[in-house]
Amino acid sequence: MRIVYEKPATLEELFSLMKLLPEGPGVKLLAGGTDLLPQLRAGRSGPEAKERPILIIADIKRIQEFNGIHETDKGLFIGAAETMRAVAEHPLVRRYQALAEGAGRMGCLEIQNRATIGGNICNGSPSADSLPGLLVYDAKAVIISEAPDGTAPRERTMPLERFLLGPGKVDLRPGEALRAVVLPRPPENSQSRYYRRTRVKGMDLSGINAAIYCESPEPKAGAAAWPAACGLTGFRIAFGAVWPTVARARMAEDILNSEPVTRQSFERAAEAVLADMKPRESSMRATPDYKRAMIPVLIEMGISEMGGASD
Amino acid sequence: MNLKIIGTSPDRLDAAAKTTGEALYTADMKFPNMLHMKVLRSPHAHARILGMDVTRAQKAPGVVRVVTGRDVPGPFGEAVRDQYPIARDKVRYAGEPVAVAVAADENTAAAALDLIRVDYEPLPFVLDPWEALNQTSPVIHEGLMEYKTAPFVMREGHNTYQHMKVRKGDAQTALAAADLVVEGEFRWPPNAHTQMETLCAVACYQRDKSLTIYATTQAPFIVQSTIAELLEIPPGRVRVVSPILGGGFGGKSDVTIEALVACVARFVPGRHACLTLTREEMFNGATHGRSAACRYQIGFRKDGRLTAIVGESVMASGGNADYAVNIITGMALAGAGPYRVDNVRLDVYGVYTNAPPIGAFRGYGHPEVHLALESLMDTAAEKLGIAPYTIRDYNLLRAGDANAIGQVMSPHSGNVAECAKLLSEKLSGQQLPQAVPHCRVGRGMAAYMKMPCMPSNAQSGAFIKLNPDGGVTISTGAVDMGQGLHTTLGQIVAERLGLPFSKISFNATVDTLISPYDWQTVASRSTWGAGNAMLLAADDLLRKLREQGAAYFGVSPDDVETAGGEIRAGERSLPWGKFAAGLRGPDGAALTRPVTGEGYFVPQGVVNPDPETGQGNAAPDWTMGCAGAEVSVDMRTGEITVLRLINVIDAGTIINPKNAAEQVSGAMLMSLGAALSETVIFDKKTGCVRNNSLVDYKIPGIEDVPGQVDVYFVETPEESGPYGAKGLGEHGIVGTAPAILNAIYNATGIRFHSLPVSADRLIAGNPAIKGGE
Repeated sequence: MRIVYEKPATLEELFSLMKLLPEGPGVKLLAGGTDLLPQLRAGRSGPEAKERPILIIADIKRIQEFNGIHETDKGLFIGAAETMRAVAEHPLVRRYQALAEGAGRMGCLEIQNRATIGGNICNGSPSADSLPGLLVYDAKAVIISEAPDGTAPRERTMPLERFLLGPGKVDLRPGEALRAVVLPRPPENSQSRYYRRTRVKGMDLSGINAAIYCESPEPKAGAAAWPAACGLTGFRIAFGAVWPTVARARMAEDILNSEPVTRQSFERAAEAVLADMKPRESSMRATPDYKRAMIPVLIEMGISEMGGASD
Repeated sequence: MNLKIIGTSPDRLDAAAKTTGEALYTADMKFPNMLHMKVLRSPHAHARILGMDVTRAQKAPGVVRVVTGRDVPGPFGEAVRDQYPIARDKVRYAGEPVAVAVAADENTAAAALDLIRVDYEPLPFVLDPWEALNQTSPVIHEGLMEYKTAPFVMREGHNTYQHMKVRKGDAQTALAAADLVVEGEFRWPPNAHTQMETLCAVACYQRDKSLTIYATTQAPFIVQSTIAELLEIPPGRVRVVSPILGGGFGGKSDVTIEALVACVARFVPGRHACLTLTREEMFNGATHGRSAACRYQIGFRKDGRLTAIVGESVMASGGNADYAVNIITGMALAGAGPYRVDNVRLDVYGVYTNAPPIGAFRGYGHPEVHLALESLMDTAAEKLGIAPYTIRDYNLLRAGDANAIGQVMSPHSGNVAECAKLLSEKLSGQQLPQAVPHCRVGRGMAAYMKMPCMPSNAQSGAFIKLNPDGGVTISTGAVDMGQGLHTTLGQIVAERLGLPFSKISFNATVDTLISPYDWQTVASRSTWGAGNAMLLAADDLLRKLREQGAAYFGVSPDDVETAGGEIRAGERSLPWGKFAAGLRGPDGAALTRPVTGEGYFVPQGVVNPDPETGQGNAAPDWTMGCAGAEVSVDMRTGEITVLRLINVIDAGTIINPKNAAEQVSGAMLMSLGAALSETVIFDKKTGCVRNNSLVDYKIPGIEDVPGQVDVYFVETPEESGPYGAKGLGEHGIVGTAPAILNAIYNATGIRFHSLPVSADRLIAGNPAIKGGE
């Protein structure tokens, strides 16, 4: 297999490269390349690479449409080619704390400077560090493709959670590319946290990760802190490495949001996740038992940290 | 003695070249028309090779040659002759080479491997050490009893290639009579050395039947003799060059890929051929370390006196043993630790298993047995109501005491009691940090001793060449693999010659055709062995300078002085540099010859241990010390944070305190990795290594390094060492893992018997936490 590297400057150039003929060269989109290049090297780059004589690596970084972090009327736009470091440090992302924390924990500094949020999503890892934070903010995936009549490119938008289909699988059809994610503006009284468990404190992949989002009511004088009481509402919880994709724990959210949070409801919420989870038995990053043990721990960390508990 | 340079920490001689990237390593060796090799490796842990078809690969464009096990000689080996450069008839571990493609570039060679067909008949395999010892397990080397071996190999057949015994007193009776017996099995899984530089070798076989090989080796002279014998070439025609080495840790000692590369190079005469292992291949095509299980029973009197140690240990050595025989020796001779005990019975077995071979790894058998010993010392202390320091202090070897192999400690042997005392003071001298919510903090210690495991005549050599500027260039057969050897040796030479350190330069490359003999750079022996050789060479240089000065000035050598870089006879003097190339008289006639000092050192009076009892003067010296750890354990998540690591070591006189402290702290961090995160994981169904990359073989990152890593030296001058120095490169690894485990127990009440202690295991071991067992 011969590899050809292309760096299109415009969407038009990209789409002309991506016009796949079954007998022609395969095309792989490259942003940071921190997942793609090791996969190519290990011969795990999918059938479009293996069975074709030529593989085109199309680098999307230079195309304007894939770049930028800015506010829009639909929420915060983050271009797919923005680096994890840019996401972690951008002032506009700060309000989406679980996302900023997740992007800032991924890999190491060097990798964060190279890896992109689009790549982190499209790689489809069940434990991707950016995804729990994105999912608790109800992020939308913006998918772009060439218009059939060759005029303006076509865009479709879908909930990011549905974009994730399985390990290594996302809902991109031939000719499509992930352009950006858009995060609706959260209420002022919202906050979130990102947690992950790893084997070492140095560079590692998450054995299990989670984002917890909630909204706080007006603080009442003399209100007791967790675990005695918790006035938090509007919980959104996402776990990675618990299901085949990063996903929202809606069963737990429903329990926590249906009544004032108490130790009993918290425990029922954790039980609901435990009953539903499908951890990979053979994971070298965390055993299923450890993940089970961490479900209540990570949820409680979120509640206690955001509920002002002093322990 | 008024020392000027010993005990100071000049900048390392290799610092600039390595920092700027100008240093040249084996993989930097490029030659005209150089060929590249790729290795086809067995996917089976144990299988018969029924047939192989390489014709398609051989015909592929760009492929120069495909070589299989039938094409090359074998077996070879220094201790047990049980290795094949390329497997023949049978594979014994997943990853064993079965064929090699040679092509103009790596990609072409790699593509050719896909065209090779191998028919295997898979056989049952065994990975567990005790199972391999059991007579019902699959036999891995049918020819074991027929292999040629070194005289100290005591094989028993089946899978047992070595059974080493230590017998002292009557251990069984003493154990029966003990007030307290503590016992347990402790396991250290296989660890990868994870050197920054992977294995690489470039060989060229010439039609005059000589072979040159540039190799990432700590053991150029072992490689030379092994290849000479294997390829039936006179040793003088085998040139092994060891350029600068990017980390060894034992993984580049003995013979690694060099035998394969040399054998394959013979098929492409006149051209250089290179093999560089990928990081992934380092996990199945290179040696690992450790992989031992130790069952110990230790008897105590009520007052804490150690009365008996009974141990049965087994090392799962992988698909071939060869030099691992000597690691078994380490586990046996050090199996009673730094303690005075009258009754010892140790049985250590080396067994074949269907895993990548186990070879030398920093510590060489000592960490494995200390894990058992030092964990059980704490258990005994708790049961007897004695402090961990006190029970150790009571039993530690002191001058006049005999160790387990009958060597009587002399005052210069090292003061381990002082090390333990200082460690205990340092450890408790700081307040235990306030536990953060959900966390428990604890402390632990472990005493240790380690000897250089080596042939009784392990030799070292040194050349010192005088330069026209009055400086000298030092050369040795020992390899600088990052440990700072040349700087340390340079200090020894500068001190002895009375030169400023700036006058020392060094030859970074070892070349077996010109460098002086040196057994190999292992066993923390080079400061001691090569340092002694340097002293002898320096004395030789001074003697020759006096002779040449006498010839020039026309006086007796006894009337010539050499101090201060000047050759002086009465009122007359000339700088040393004038003598470098030789001096002439006023009429032009030559008066003196160039001056080079040479020195060779071999240890004196070291003998093989008695085969039945292990007794004897089998270790030239012991370096002893004590390790300490302070940990914090998050009881919710199981996360273990090592807050402090301390080591107090008596390695005799410290030549270069900064370099020495870096060696000890580096070894401690390696032990931290083994204690908490590092292990080679095998697929139980296939026997293949599952975590063959740094993604899932987890070495600590800088974030895992404790905020405080302290090294203290107790300096009891070693009688046999240069300026009283002895080895310390490995020792930081020996006691650190058990100290961390003892600290975890102290914090949590959970006693772990195997490594690594992951958060998974900590949570599962804690019944208080939901989801645990």
